[in-house]
Formats: sequence, C-alpha cells, structure tokens
Amino acid sequence: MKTEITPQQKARRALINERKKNSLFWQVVHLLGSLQLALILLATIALACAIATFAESHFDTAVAHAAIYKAPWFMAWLTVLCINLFAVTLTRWPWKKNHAGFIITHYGIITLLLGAIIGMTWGFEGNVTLHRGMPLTKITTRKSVLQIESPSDTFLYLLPYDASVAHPSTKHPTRLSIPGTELQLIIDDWSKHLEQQPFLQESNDLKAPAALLLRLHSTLLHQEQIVPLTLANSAAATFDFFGLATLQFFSTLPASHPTSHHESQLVAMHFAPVIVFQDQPSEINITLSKDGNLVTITTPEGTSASYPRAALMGQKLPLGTTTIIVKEYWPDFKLVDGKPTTLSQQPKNPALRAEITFSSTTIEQPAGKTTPWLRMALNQDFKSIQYQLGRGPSIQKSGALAMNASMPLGWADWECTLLAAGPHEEIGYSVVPLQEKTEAKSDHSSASPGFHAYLADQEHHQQGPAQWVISGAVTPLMLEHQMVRVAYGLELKSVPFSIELLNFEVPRDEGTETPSDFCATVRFKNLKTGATRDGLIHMNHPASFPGTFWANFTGFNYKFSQAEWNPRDLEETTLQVLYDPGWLFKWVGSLAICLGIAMMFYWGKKK
Amino acid sequence: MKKLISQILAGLFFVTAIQSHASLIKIPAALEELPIQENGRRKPYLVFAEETLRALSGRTSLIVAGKKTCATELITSLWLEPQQPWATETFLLVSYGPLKKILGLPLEQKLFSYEALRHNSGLITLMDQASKARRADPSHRLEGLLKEAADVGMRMALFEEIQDGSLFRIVPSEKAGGRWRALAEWEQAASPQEREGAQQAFLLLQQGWTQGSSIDFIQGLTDLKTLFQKIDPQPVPHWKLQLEIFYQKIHPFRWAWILYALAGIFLLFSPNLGQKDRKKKIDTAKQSHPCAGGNPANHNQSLHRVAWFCAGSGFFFQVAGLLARILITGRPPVTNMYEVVIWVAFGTVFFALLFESFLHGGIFLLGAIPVAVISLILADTQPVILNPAINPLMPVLRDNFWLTIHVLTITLSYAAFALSLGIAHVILIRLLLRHQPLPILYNYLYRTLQVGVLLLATGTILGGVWANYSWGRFWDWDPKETWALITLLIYLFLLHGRIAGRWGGFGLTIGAVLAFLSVLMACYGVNFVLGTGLHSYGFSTGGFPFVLGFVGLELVLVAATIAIKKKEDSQG
Repeated sequence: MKTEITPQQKARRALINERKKNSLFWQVVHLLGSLQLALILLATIALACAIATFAESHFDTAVAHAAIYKAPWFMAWLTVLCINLFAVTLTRWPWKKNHAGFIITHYGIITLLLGAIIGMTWGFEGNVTLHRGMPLTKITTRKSVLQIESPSDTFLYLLPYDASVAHPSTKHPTRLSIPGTELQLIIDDWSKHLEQQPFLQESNDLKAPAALLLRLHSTLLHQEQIVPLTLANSAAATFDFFGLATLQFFSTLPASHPTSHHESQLVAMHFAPVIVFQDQPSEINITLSKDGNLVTITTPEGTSASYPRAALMGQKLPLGTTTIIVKEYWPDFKLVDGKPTTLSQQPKNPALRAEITFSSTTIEQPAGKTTPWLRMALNQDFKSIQYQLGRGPSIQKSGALAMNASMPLGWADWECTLLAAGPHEEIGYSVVPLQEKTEAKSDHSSASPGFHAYLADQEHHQQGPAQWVISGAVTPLMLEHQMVRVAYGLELKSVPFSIELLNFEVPRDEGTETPSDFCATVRFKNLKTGATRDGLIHMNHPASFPGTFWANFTGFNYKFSQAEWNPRDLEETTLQVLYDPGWLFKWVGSLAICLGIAMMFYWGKKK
Repeated sequence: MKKLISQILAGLFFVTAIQSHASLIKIPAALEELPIQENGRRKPYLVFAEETLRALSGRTSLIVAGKKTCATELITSLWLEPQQPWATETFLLVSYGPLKKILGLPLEQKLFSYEALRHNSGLITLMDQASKARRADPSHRLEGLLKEAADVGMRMALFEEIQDGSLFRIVPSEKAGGRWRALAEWEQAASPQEREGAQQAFLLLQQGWTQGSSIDFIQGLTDLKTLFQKIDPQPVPHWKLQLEIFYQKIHPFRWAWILYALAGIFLLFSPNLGQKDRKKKIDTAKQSHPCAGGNPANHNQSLHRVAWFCAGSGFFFQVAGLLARILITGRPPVTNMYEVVIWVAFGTVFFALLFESFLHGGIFLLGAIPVAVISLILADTQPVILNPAINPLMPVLRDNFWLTIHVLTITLSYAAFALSLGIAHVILIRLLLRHQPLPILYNYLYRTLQVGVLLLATGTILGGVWANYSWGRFWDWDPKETWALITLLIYLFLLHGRIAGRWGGFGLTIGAVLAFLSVLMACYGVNFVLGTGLHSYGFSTGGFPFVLGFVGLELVLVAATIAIKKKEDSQG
C-alpha cells in the first residue's frame, strides 16, 4: 500500500505540520478531524445500533427508539460525527484534484444527516385510515401527546407524553404540574389494552328505552365482546357481528311460518361429499367410516352421533325436525359412464347416498341475503328474552334465554350470554384494562392504550379518585370541586387538503386468496381552491399532494403509501403519510456518498 | 457433520444413479409438461410433483415398497390410485427432535405415516394451540414446538388434499388469472357430454397407470388435454414449460458445485500453485510490477489448466441455471434465502474471476471456491431450510426495478465480503502453516473489501430510497436496515483503522473474518435471532446449528492464528 513520497507530498506535510504548530485553529481542526475520533465514533455508533436491535426484539420498538435511536445523546453523537466529517475535509486543505472523492463522500454523509434532521424537525410521519366516501382532513401522527385543560384559564396545554415509554408505576409515578393551579396530575399505571366496557343503568326517565346487555364469547378464538342493544332507534337495536352476522333487538319478534326442505348427499370415503339441495342447505355433515359400516352425522349445532349403516338403510332416522334416510350404498364406488356403480363388494371406496328432509321457519327477508342472524325480544318479566336464530330467510332455532344463561349461536363456537336487561335503561361505559394481556393482543380491535391517573394537591395533602384515561377520549378528573379534563392519544395533524377513498381493490394471486397488490384510488381536494386531483396508490407507487414535479423533487409534499388493509372490510384502507422537507438533502447526500466512494476507490488512482 | 457428508454423497448419487421405476410405465413427457395451478402460479406437472413431495417429506424421491420412487411417480400413484393404503405409508416429515420427543415418536425416524400422526393426541393438541395462537394474532410468528407442529399440520393437510384429489387443479379457468379446478370439481359444473368425456379419459388414465399400459395412459392424457384446450388453448407458453422441466431435471447448481470442488482440488494439488512456488511467483512479481503476477496459463501446467477449465464450466452452469430461473420467474433471483445463497456464491466466483483477469493473483479463485462450494452444497442438500420452490412474492417485492437495483447490489456486496473472507482464510491458513505473510495478498484483500464497501453503501442507500416509495419513509431503524448500517460501519472501521495505521495487513485479515460475522447477522441473524421488523419476507428458520458451528470455527481459527502470530513475533 505504501508508495514513494513525492517532493510535493513532502512539502504538503511540512505545511500541515507548520500550521498545526502555529495556529490554535488548525490544532482544533486536526483534533476534531482526527482518525482516532472517527474510529471511536464508528465503533460506538455501530455498538449502540446493535444494542438497540436487541433491545427492540426483547422489549419493543418504542423502547429502542426512545432509549437509543431518537435519544438526545445519540443525536449529540451524530452531531459530533458531522463535526468530525467536516473537520477531516478541512485537514486536507488546500484541496487537490485527488481529494474530490474523499470530500464528496464526507460532505455527502453530512448532507444526508442534515436532511434527516430537517425531516425530523419540520416534517412528519403519520397514517390515515380511509373509508370509502368519507373524506378526511386530519392525519394521525406517531407522536403520543397529552392535552390538559387547566381549570384556571381553560387553556389547552399540549405536551408530548408516551406512557408505553415512560412506564409509570405506583413506585415511579409520572408527576405533571397543571399550569395555573396547585394541582398535580399523577400517573401511576399504564396499559396497552384498555377497553370501554358498556353497562346498563336503570333510568329514572320512563321514556328511556328497553335495553339488553349480551356477552358474545368464543373459547376457540379467545375473543369476547360485550354488546349493548336498546330500542332507542334501529341503529342502537342492531349490532353488526364483524360483517358475518347480525344481532337485532325487537319489541316483539316478527311472525314466522314453517316450510320443509329436501336435500340429497353423496358421501364417500375418498372425496368431498356432493350435496344437492333446494333453497338452502341443511348443513348436516355426514361421514362414512373406512370400512363403510359406520355413519357419523353431525348437526349444524355441532352435536354428532354415529349409527351402524345397516340400521339406516331405507330407515328414516328422525333428528329433531330433520329426517335422514340412507337410500343407496356402494362398497367400491366408481362412476362408470356417469352412473354410480360398485366395482367389487370389498369396501375399497365406500360411498352412500342419503336423503334429508327438514323443516325451517321462513320469514320475510330481502332476497339473496343468507347471512346468519339472531333476533331477540324482551319477555314481560324483564329477566329473560325470546330469541330466533336463523340464516337468510329461515329460522333454524328459537326459544327463550334466561338471565346469565348461555346458548351456542352456531357460528363457529360463539356463545351468547344474557348479562342484563330492563325496560328503561341507560348505557354507561367504564374503562378497564383487559385481563388477559398476552392473549388479547389483537382480538379486541377496539382496545386502546391509556394510563391510570388521579389529581393531587400536594399542599393540602388531598387526592382525587383515580381513573383510567383511555386514548382518543376526553376524561374528566376530579379533586373536590375542581375538574381537569385530560385527553391522551396520538396527535392529529390538520392538512391543507382533504383525501377521500374512491375505490379500493385487492387483486389476488391466481387461484388463491393471497393479495398480489393493493390499489386505492383517492381524491385530493385543495381546501383553499377547491381543486381536486385523483391519484392511484398501489404497492411501491405512492400518490402525493400537491404532486407537482418540484414538490416531489424537494419533498415539500404529502406522500401517501399503501400501509395496511382490513381483510374483513374492503371499503377501508390505511395509508402511510410522509411530509419530508429534508428529502432533497437526503437524496443528494445519498448520491454524493455513492459517487464519492466510487471516485475515491477507482478514479485517478492509476498512474 | 457426518449427516452432512452422507447427504452430500446422496446428492452425488442422485446425479449418477439410474432411477428405478416403481410404476409400471415410464412417465411420458406429456404428463411431465401438463400445466397445473398450485400456490398461486402455473407450473409443469413434474415441478408440481417435486415441490409437493418436497413439502411433504423434505426430499424429491422416496423408498416405497423397497423401491426408490421419484416424485412424479409417487405423486401420480397417489392421484390415480387413491384406494391404496397411502395413509399408512411413511411420507410425512417430522424432523424436529424435541417435537418427536414430546410426541413419543422414535427419534431416529424422520418420516411418519399420516395415520400415525393423525392419532397422535399430543400432536393434535399442539396443532390446536398453534392454530389458536395464529387466530388470536395473525401477525405473530410461531416458534419452537408450536411452529414445528403447525408445519407438520400443514404437511398433513397437504396429504389430505392429495388424497381427495383437490390438489390436482389441472382444468384451466375460462377467466385469465382465475382459479383452476380439479377434475371432479369441474365435472360438477360441466355439460353432460364434457363430464362423460372427462370421466372416460380419466378412467383410461387410471387403467393405463394401474395396468401398465402406456398407450391407454397417453390416450387418456391426450383426451383430457383436448378437453382443456377448449377452455384455454394455451394457458402456459410451451417454451416456458419445457424450460422449467429442463431446469428442474438438469440441476445446474449441483453441477456447478461439483465442478467448483474439482477446480479447488486441482488448484490445491497443482504443483504450479503449491504454496512455495506461488510465494516465489508473487515475490518476484512484486519486485517487477505489482499488477503483473504472471499469468497462470503461461506456466503450462496441465493440472492448473484443468482447474481453470473446471471453474469456468462450473461458472457456466451457474450462470445458465440463474438465467433459466430468471426466465421462469420473471424476476431477479434474490427473493428468498435459497436464491440469495446461490446468488452470493455466483457473485463470489464472479468477482474472483474479474479480479483474476486484472490482477492474476491466483489467490482470488482459491479464496472464492470454498465459499461457493459450501453455499451451493447447502442450497442443494438442505431443501427444508433453503426452499428451492418458486412461489409468488408478497406485493411489496413485486417491483423488478427496485428488486434488481437494491437487493442485487446488497447481495453482491455480501458476495464481495464472502470473497474477502475466502482470501482472508487463505492468508490465515498460510500463516498457520508457518509461511511468511505476503504484502501483495493484503493488497488483494483490501481491494475486495473496497468493492464490498462500495456495493453495501450503495445498496443500503438504495434500500432507503425504495423504502421511501414503498413504505413511505427513508429510514426508520428497522432491524434489517440497522444491521446493514452496522455492517457498513464495521467495515468502514476496519478500513479507517488500516489508514490510521492502527493495524496492518494481519489485522486487516483478522478483521475481514470477524466483520463477515456481521454480514451473517445482517443477512441471516436478523431474520432468525431478532425476528421482528418489516423485512419479514426474508425470514426463514432452521439452519441455526450450521451458522453457529460456522461462527465457532471462525473464532477458533482467528484465535489460533493470533496465538501463532504472537509467538512468532515474540521469537522473531
């Protein structure tokens, strides 16, 4: 690596040594730009990042960001790095042609970091969940904030606070002074999963509507949902069960009349059953044992029983309102010329044909709808309900359900329990942390983070009642007669335009349900001028506002990229939003780094 | 290690052995190239059969009834003879030791029958738990026992789909990109004539297969194809089917590693490249001109020529294989662990040949070959860890522009670092054998490190630019991003330390070995050890013992050479 030192280089070294000796300025520059400092910086930044990645996998992303990546000391260290990079280019002064690559690279890194700082300070990142036909003008940022309304001047005070990073506890509570008062807000616990649980409250107002409180529960899915229904209006009397079923509360159940249905099933050991039915399927599942001698019948309610095949041949088997009869049996089933025959008497491929007749009660229902439903009406004693359970136009089950009793709904393993009921009720909500923290990870889409807090007056040694503060709602905290209203959650940012989802499509891989892309058509509307512009957002192709060339070039625009989707609701999509005025610096810096390294290594070296 | 060797030998055997047929007839080409839709893409039947059997049992041929049976035969038998007691045959892979222990399955056995697993109550409980965990949080990644149990469950479900015939979706869809159907499923909706035609053709196919009549079999197949042509005349271009079958049969990457290994052996034993001669050669070269190390071809050594010929042919096979894969998939070959390993092996040899053509050091090829051979052997023999199947990509990756410029650059930087690792090994082994260190070798090492740093810096930054478009931000400290940065910082540290005079050539060599461990972390460890982050599509599991063993060996080598160096320095 070492080459002969030319006279010019000798002169240069002498010059550098000379100025180091005589000038304090140059001494400082050479110290700040020293390779030793660069080595220390490289090693410590690499180590810090490595620790952060492990912290992230052990705790969570917020902790890694708060403790390292976004921590003041890390920022300070990066500033030192910038100074080091700048100083080292000065040490090469006076610059020569062969320094070009070196200088471009080092200034490129400074430019990139500058871009990052500009982006962090003046830009923002957030997301927005759009529903078709509902334009939005606000974007949810990633910053958790606390809003406090001071009782003295009713001003809103805003301060950044993230309970999941602060980790408040009774031992180490967070204390915040409320401006203009002697009061303190004391936060002594936090939860990632708070939920508003409804409860029924007897109302003194005789005009208050009748209400029910139901608990829907699935052991298999680890899910639970408390549902209040009132007769106040049709919306309050209906609950949409994840778009899969409907719960409805009536003053009296609609009338019904029974009809009978017929179904034929071809059941075999080695292929899926062939089911032919009119109007609606019975949903009875018949299986045949391997030797063809045992028939297992599973009802739609999930009860199952086995019978010897011989006993069912040509004999009617009544099962509630259903009758099952086995008409034909083939030990070694084969379709020959489209007709079922048996190849031998050995049970090599046993198959049977069963006829099912069943009755169901039909009620008036818009045609074409076959989603399951539960209809309920309150009994006169207000302690039990009458219900009808059905699908599409037909009733499959009906009966009464007493207070605190459960019944299977026939939708997977979901069960319904009647928790409370009354003729004149009000619905109240209380905020509670979810019990099973680990299992409840995503099954409660309604769960929100929050913290546990109370007001305290240190001088008078007074303390108000403690309460959970759930994000996204205003919670009043009391102390004596003073009230402080507190709101917690991700900061919302207004943008100078509205964005509306016009259309959302999810193309799939051929023959599967796996998405191959997500395509959202959105409409931007400038709130000042009223001008609209449509954009298509799909994977790797964001849309932006204002979206002109220079806006895209410099980053002074709002960029919307596809982020999340809801498989249950294709009228909804979540977009990642970025406003990054540092973008120009970032990409110019990036270009400089790559170019500079290439120049340093491969340009002007060969003599 | 013993296992690995036996697998390598088995791999060799596959290339040369004449495959015995368990079926009564020879598989006709018409069946091999029958298009079938599975897992979101259309593929020839042969590929479908191999991928299916590999998914079931982790291999592409099995011993059935004492006979070695290839995937196509076995899968066809399962399809056309559903009445056979397949459920009691041992087809399903259970490889995870702790799982077998808990389920009370014999530890030495790898394959189990469907029946044996179906009645294992422990397995059912675990699979139940796994599905509950997955339902409770679909984004959660299963680990350990639950993950392995879920994998076994997937194999069982696949077996069920084979048994009831629903996996054999050979009837094209009328709609472009629509779902294809299995014969029985299609017949339900077909007209009576069509149904009858299909049933007769299928019966002919079955008869031909079971009774050993090639004529019947081919007739049945032709009838079916005629029927399907009415629905869609050409669902897959013929050349593409042919190419994929050719690619599947020829095993280009296996030939590549065999030829590379031969080249390595010839290079080692080539008298011309014996340690002393080369030292002399390089020493003299250094005196005259640093860049003209004497062309090895000039030495007229036949062994040496053979070595170069082998390496060149291996490279040819590898390029051909990669080209075929690009044509089949229509995307750059860096979309899963298997492809990345092969691509890195390719890049290492590519850089070695490039350097050799400029610098004629001889050492580049010697450094590249072990890296390439080990990578390609792993890719060839560990299909469970490195899955060679071609599957559709997740939406964010479906952008050939970014995939090419970001992922190819990043993985090429890994290749350059792998080459530097290989060169560092040659130097360290020379030191262990008490040869004097050679300044020119350190220069070569420095040059490969430069290539790596340039490519890694470019690739990482390009990743940021891509992320700015796809995820909507330039940099957000995702573990994969962060580890790419850490790797870059570590290599920069290594190069800057050399400039500062903190360490010389020997330090650079040790550094090149240690810094490569961070490449391993960025490329593999992030996915496996950390298991969080946005680059979840690169996540794979398994192979941890291999990597851990590699890291251990490297650390021992480094410690040993440092000890020897210290001893020598104190003596001299």
